[in-house]
This record gives sequence, structure tokens and C-alpha cells, in this order.
Amino acid sequence: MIRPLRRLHERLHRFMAVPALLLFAFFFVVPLVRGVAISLTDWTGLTPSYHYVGLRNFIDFFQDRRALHALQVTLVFGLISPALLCVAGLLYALLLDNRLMGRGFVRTFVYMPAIISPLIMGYVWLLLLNSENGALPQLLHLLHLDSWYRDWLGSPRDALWVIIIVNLWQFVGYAMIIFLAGLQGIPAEVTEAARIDGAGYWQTVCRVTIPLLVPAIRINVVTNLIGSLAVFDVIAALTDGGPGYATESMSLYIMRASFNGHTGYATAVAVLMFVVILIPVSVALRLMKKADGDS
Amino acid sequence: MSRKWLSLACAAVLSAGLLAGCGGNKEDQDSPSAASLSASPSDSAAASSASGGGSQKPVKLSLLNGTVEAVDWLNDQIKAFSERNPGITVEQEFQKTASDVLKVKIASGDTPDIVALAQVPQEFYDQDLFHDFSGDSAIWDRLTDPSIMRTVADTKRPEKHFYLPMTVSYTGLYYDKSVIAELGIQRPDTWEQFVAALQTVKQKKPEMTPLYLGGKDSWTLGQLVQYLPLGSIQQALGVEEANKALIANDASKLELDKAGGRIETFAKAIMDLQRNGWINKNGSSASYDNQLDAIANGKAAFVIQGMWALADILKKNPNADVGFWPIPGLMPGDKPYMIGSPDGSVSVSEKSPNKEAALKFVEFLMSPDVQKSYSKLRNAPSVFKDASADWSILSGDIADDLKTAFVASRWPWTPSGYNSDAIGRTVQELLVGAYRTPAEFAKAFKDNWDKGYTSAAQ
Amino acid sequence: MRKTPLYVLMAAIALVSLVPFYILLFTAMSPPSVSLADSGLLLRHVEWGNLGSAWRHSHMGRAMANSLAIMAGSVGISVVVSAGAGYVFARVGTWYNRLLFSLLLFSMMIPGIINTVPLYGLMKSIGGINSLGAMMLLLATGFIPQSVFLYTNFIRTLPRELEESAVIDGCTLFGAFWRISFPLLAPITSTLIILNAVNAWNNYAQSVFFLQSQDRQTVPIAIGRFVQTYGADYTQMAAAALIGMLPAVLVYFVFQRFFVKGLSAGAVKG
Repeated sequence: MIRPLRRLHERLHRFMAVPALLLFAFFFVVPLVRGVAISLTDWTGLTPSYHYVGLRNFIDFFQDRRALHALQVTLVFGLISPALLCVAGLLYALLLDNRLMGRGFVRTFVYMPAIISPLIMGYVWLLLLNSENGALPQLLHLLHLDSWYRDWLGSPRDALWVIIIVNLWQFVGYAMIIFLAGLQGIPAEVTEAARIDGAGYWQTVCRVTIPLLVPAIRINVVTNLIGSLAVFDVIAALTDGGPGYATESMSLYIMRASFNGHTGYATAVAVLMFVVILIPVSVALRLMKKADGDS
Repeated sequence: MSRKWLSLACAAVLSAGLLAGCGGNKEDQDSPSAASLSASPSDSAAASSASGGGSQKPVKLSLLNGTVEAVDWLNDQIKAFSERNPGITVEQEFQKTASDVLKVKIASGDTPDIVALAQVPQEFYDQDLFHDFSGDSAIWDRLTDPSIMRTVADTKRPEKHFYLPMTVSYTGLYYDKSVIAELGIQRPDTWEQFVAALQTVKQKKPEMTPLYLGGKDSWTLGQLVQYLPLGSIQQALGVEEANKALIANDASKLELDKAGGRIETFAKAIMDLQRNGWINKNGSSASYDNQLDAIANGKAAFVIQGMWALADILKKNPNADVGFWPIPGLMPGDKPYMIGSPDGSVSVSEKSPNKEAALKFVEFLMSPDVQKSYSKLRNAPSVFKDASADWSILSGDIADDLKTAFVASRWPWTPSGYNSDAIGRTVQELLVGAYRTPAEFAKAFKDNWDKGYTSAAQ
Repeated sequence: MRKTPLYVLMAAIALVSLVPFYILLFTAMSPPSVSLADSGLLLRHVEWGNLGSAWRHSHMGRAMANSLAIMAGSVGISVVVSAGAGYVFARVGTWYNRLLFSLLLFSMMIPGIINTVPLYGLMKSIGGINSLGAMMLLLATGFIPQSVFLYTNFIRTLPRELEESAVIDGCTLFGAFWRISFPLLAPITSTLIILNAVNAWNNYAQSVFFLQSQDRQTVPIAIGRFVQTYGADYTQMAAAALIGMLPAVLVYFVFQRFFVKGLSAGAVKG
């Protein structure tokens, strides 16, 4: 090869991050900066005119009852879901970690709901829960358990729980797989040693297994926190934020504000949503760092 | 798997991606709109003269359509048009939420050449983004009723007309003919009579729902507000005056939160319906689809909807025996109410460099045969004299209703930040007991209503 | 510990996970007038016609071709650029590299909604509207943070000597990475393929804005046509969803063998 080209080829490895960073800068950072700029204006999104209003949008958020309610919905869903996902995922993983025949198939099936788009999953559950001709009311009827039936999607309090359950249903496989990966990394000798020392099954799990799973827990908690706090599709499909505004999350609130003539304000709320995601994730990471340090 | 093969494959994918990205550029060359939204009038004049020779070189028009039922029909018309006008192709973009997509596009300087069957926010008409059809007497002379031209005039500047209508849509009270006949119920003109009818149904046919609400789709509830309390304002002030008052948010005329006023009466009516079991218990979680199913299959006696629902009702039950009455008036003294409003709008972008071609396509769309087929498609009568077709099995019912009802030629206007979807959500809250008294509902309604006005609109 | 209750549990969770698929199957295969309630939950009348009409009305063939291209392109691009970046972040521990790495991770927490409107203007200015290539680049960008994270972590577990000994044999570090280390990253690559391919396939929020013309639309948009404001046709939607799901399911089945291994290697080992 020609001298200069050869030299370039030798140094090429230093630039291997450049394509990724270029894409990231162009398609993410640039719009983000402009987005943050919009959040400081009163732009309606409908006319080209706008005025700089500083932090006015942010202040308005905290004075709007509906906005604060959206924050509450986001926090309830966004904190409960990851917790449930981790617990269920761990239990599933512990189950499938045993030498059982066919566990490969089961593992495959349990993850499959995660392949469906959350929007479609929402519609599937509509078909299940529809008070007129849904599968669940019909099932309860067949089992003579009609009294158990309630119009969950029509009740402000129950509707959010339905969404939590649907989300759990869909993504428990993902949490499970991460825990399975973590469990595989724990040498069998370690757990056996604990058993030999007389520890029961659940004791072993709590004292030995879980501390060794902290990296897996960290991934699950962070990923599910981010995903659950930013949830949109499944709520839009199941309840559209209803009844009324009972299940309106921040993401839904932002979408609506953005297209109803308050684009500047909506972008500011999106910046706030970033903070809402940042805080729990940072807290969780810090707590787990301590746990990692202790063990 | 050899490593070389893997890296070659990756490189191929990468370059394919980049090349395909380059290919995208060509598509857009033919129909960019002027990037500046605040171009002066001289710009648009220049644009129209520049496209004077537009029929010579190949032209690509972009058409944004917001109505799924019309997608195939539009594709058919596009094909027919292109056969007669080689050199002009029209590319249809269907969007479920066409209104929202339109906002994003225009905010980025990307106005579609033609916008059909979707709501264009008033703010865009105010910015003169769309062509004024006022001088197009060839079209206006063909209207069945000259007053239609007044109805489609721009709300802020009535001398301008930014869209062309195609059909008239009606809204009313569907009823199950056999059950109503059996129970000997007469057409209810007032709300009291309506309530009495519901009571009769509940007593004599307990397994039927007297009035079925599809509240999960909040717009169905929002429309109730437009028909009943807002429609009542139209009856009191006259359609044009009411429109002006709504746009200006003239509190003295609208009296939205007046004690015992229209909104309160509406809330009370709904609460009564709910308390007495005259509406379905799952009113806030039943969908529009459930609602149509209920009236089609004899599960409900009454349903308040528009004529657009007829096609789906018949799809669910081809033998559905339904009739169509006007909606009972809410306030004492109100006549039964119907909306008979020009619908199916088509607008053309004012600043498009292909405006002439776009107008040619619109002219084709408005031609009698095309309009006839559209009228049949949407089960709605055409606005054009020469396009009458047999548009619905209920056309007889409607002819009768038109004689007795107050027919609003316009939908009651709602602020862009509190449209019928959003209004419907407030009614959903009412249905799940968020408001203890009708007065509370009225207050919340007024607050939301006021907040819905953007500074741009005022 | 007796195994029977475990088998029962296993069967239970497998069935529970398959319920949504059964619902879709049932709805897709039944005539529109038959609901789950009517036929006692069991698939009695099989209606094959729905699949055909859903295919035609949603132009599913074209949509699948578009989705396939975007999926392959975005996953391919993100794998290549992320592996490259992962190498740099894992091997070259300068302060700015560490900062960039943290920034990438940080960016995963930023809601995408902030970007939507400015992104539209940006895409338009590069002629990216209706461009499959631009979509590939855009989606690939979305996959980069997580992919870089996994690659960096895993490459750190590979000894430097691997590449360095190849240099002694006459390679450049660049060549060494791609020829020797990258193939060893197969478990991570498989994992990322599964995660990102599914995301690319199901992408709706960006596709609906940027892929406007009818012949550029992707599978989720095609399915979405059946669920409208004015009435939903669930039978057609379910049929379209079932068909539309197949390629994603296929990718999953092909690569899932490495799924657990990949996550274990790249993420879960501290």
C-alpha cells in the first residue's frame, strides 16, 4: 500500500467512533438543542411567530391541575411497573433456571409478547376487556363468576391498574431474560455451598443469589424505569388517557398540548419529563452502587 | 461464517443505506413549497405566473387526506385524472391524524398542494396559506342552495372562501323502528318528551338500553355538547351570530357558566340519564363501534349520531331497521335540532408552485360524475345540483326531518385548544362522577373553554 | 424438590404469555360478526378470507418490503457503527471518551417528543421525507446508545492482546478489530439484532411522520389504517397484525439462541 494510505490505515482505529457520533450529533443533538430552545418560547406551532418567555412555561406547568395529575399518573405507573417487572421477572427466571424439560420453549414463548408492538397489545387487550363482547367478561360468565366482573376501563382508578398489568404481561419476558443471563453467570458452587451450609431455598435466593445479581437488577431497573416513565402507546390504545383524564400520562399530555396550539409549552413539559426520568434513575443507580459495595 | 463475508455484508448495508438516502432527494424536488411562511403577496403572484406553463413539464402534486373511507376512492379519481392529464401525477398521503400532521408539516414549511377531508385549523386560513375560491363562480353557481356559499365562507373574513364543500352531512337521532312502533312512541321534539320515551323503553323493554353512549371515543360525547347546549345557542342567536359569539368568546352572549344555563342543564340532563339507568352503564368505556353495534342489532333503542355512521351500521346488520329523527331540543323553547352542514372540504395551497395543476385536479374532483360517486360513498347528498344520487335509505326520513327541525348550516365552533375530543373528555369525567353538581361541571367546562383559545386565534 | 409443581407453573406461564396471540388469531380468523363472547372463546368458524382482504386493503406486501429494508438497514448500520464506537470507548480510556460514553447513556433518558418538530424540519432539509435511507439512519441513531453500551462492556472483557498480537502479525488495529474481535462479539450482535430489529419493525411514531406516501409506508402504519377514529375494524387489524408480525418473530427465532448468552456477556457481568 502507498505510504500515506498505510499510515492512515494504521490510525484508522482512532476514528471508529466517529460515524456513530456523527449520526448521534445530527439526528439527536441538533433537534434536541432546537427543541430546548422552543421550550423557552410561547410558540403555538400554528403560526411562525413566537416570543421568548423564559421559564414561564415551566412555572405554568406547576400551576395546572391537569398537568400535575399527569405527573402523578406518570410517577405511579413509572415506579410501580419496574418494581413489578423486576419481581415477576426474577421469579420467572428462578423457575426456568431449573433443569426442566422444555424450558427452552417456555423461555421463547414468555418473551414473545415483547415482539408485538405495544400499540397492538393495547388493542388486543381492548378485545379482551370490552364490556360488550370481550373475552374476559365471557370467560367469567362461563365460569359463573359474573360477580367478579367490573367495567375496569370505565373506572378511573381501575383503568390505570389495567394498564400496569398489560405492560407487565408484555414485558415480563424481557426482565426474565436479563435475570436468566445473570443467573447463568453465578457459578453453581456458590449456591451449592450455601445449601450445604444449611440454608433453605428462599434464604439462598435472598442472601446469595440476589446480591450476585445486582448488575442484572441494575439493567432491569434502569431500562424499565425509563420505558415506564415514558410510556405512551399502550395508554393511547387502551384508554386514550381516559376516562376523562384519569390515565393521562405526561407523554400523552405533551402530545396533546403540542398539537393543540401550545407547542412551546409542550416542549417545556417534555424537558420536565426528562428530569422526572433522571431523578428516579439516578437514585436507583446510587442505591445499587451502595448495594454492590456492601456485598 | 467467514469474517470477510461479514464485514463485506456490513459495508454493503451501510452503503446501500447511504445511497438510498441520496435517492430520497429526487422525490422532493418536484413539490417543495416556499419555505417562508410569511411571504408577501408578491411572492404568491410570482408563483402563479411561474406555474402558468405548468402543464408542459411533469408535475407532482401532494394530496393530504384525512378520511380513511375515501382513500381508495381518491386513488380511483387520481388514476382517472392522470389518464386525462398525462404529466400531472398526484400522490396521496393518508394520515389518521391528518390535522396534527398538517400542523407539523406547515411548521416546517411543507404545505401539501391539496388538503382534502381533514380539518384545517383556522390559524392557517388566517395566514392566507390556502387559495381563495371566492371568484370561482363556475363552482358556486352549481350549488343546490346558494346559502351554502355563505356557510363555507371564512369565519373571520366572510368575503373569502378557502375550501370547497362536497356533501352535506346530517346528524340526528337514530331509532329502532320496530321497537318504537311497538311501544307507540311519537317523535320526541323536546327533551321532556325524549326522557319520557326513554322511560317507556326502560319499563317495557328492560333488556334494551334506551340511549346508548359510545363514550370511550370522546368525540361522540363532545358532539353531544355541540348538538345540545351549543346548538341551543345557535337556535337563540341565529347560526351566523352564534358563530361570531363563539369565536369571540363573547361571554355575555354565550353565558356558558350561567346558573341554570345551557351547560348546567346539559350536565343535569346527563346526570339524570345516568341515575335513572336510561343510558348504558358502561357509557364511558363503550366505543363508537359498540354504539353502532347496539343500534344495528337491537340492543339499543336510540343513538345520537351522524349520517356517516349509516354505512357501518348496515355493515354490522344489513337488515337493520333504523329511522332518523332530529335531536330533541335541550332547553325549553328549543326546536328539535339537526346539523345539515356542508362537509368534505378540499383546499389548495396558495403558495404552491404547482397551484395551477392543483386547481385543475380540484376542478376534476368537483365534476358531476365524480361528485355523484362521492355522494354515494359517504351516504350524504351532494352540494351540487347536477350530482344528485340515491345516497341513502334514510333520505326520505331526512327530507321529513328538514321540515320540522332547526337545521344548523354550520357546526357550532369550538376553540382549537378545546375541540370536541377534549370536550368529550370533560363529559367522560362527568360520567365517572368527577363532578358532584351540574354547576361544577359548568365551571370546569368554562375554564377549559377559555383556556382553549390560543393567542394566535384571538 | 418435586418437579411436578414446577412443570405446572412452567406450563401456566407459557400459556399466559400466549394469550395475546390466541386473541389475535381468533379475531383474525373469525368472521366480523362473531365475537369472542359469541363462540364461547373457542375458534369455531374459521374464516381464511380475512387474511387475504387485510393483505390487500393494507397493501401489506409493499409495507413489509419497506419495513424489511428499514429493519435490515437500521440494524446493520447501528451494529457496525456501534461496534466501532464500542472499541474506541473500551480500549481508549481518555477523559473525552469517557464523557462521550456517559453522554450517550444519558441520552437514553431524554423523551423523544422533544425532538419531533425540529426533527421534521431537519429531515425535510436533507430531503429525508419519504426516504427509506433517511429512516434507516434515524432509527439507527436511536439504537446507538444501548448498542454502544453493550459493545463497550463486552469488548472490555476481551483481552487487548487479541488485537495486539494480530498487529504483530502485520495487521492494523482497525483490521484486527474487524477480523478477530468482532466475530467474537457474536452473542452481543445477536442480542442487539433481536432487540433493535423488533423495535425497527414496530416503529410507528417516527414512520408516521416521515414516510408519507402510500408506497413508502411500513407495517405498523398499514395495520393502523384499520383502527380509526370513526370505527375500528378489529378483524382486519388482527389479520394484518398477525401477518405483519411474522418477520419479527422469524428474526427472533433465528437469533434467540444467543439472546441470553449475549445479554449475559455484555451487560450482566458487572
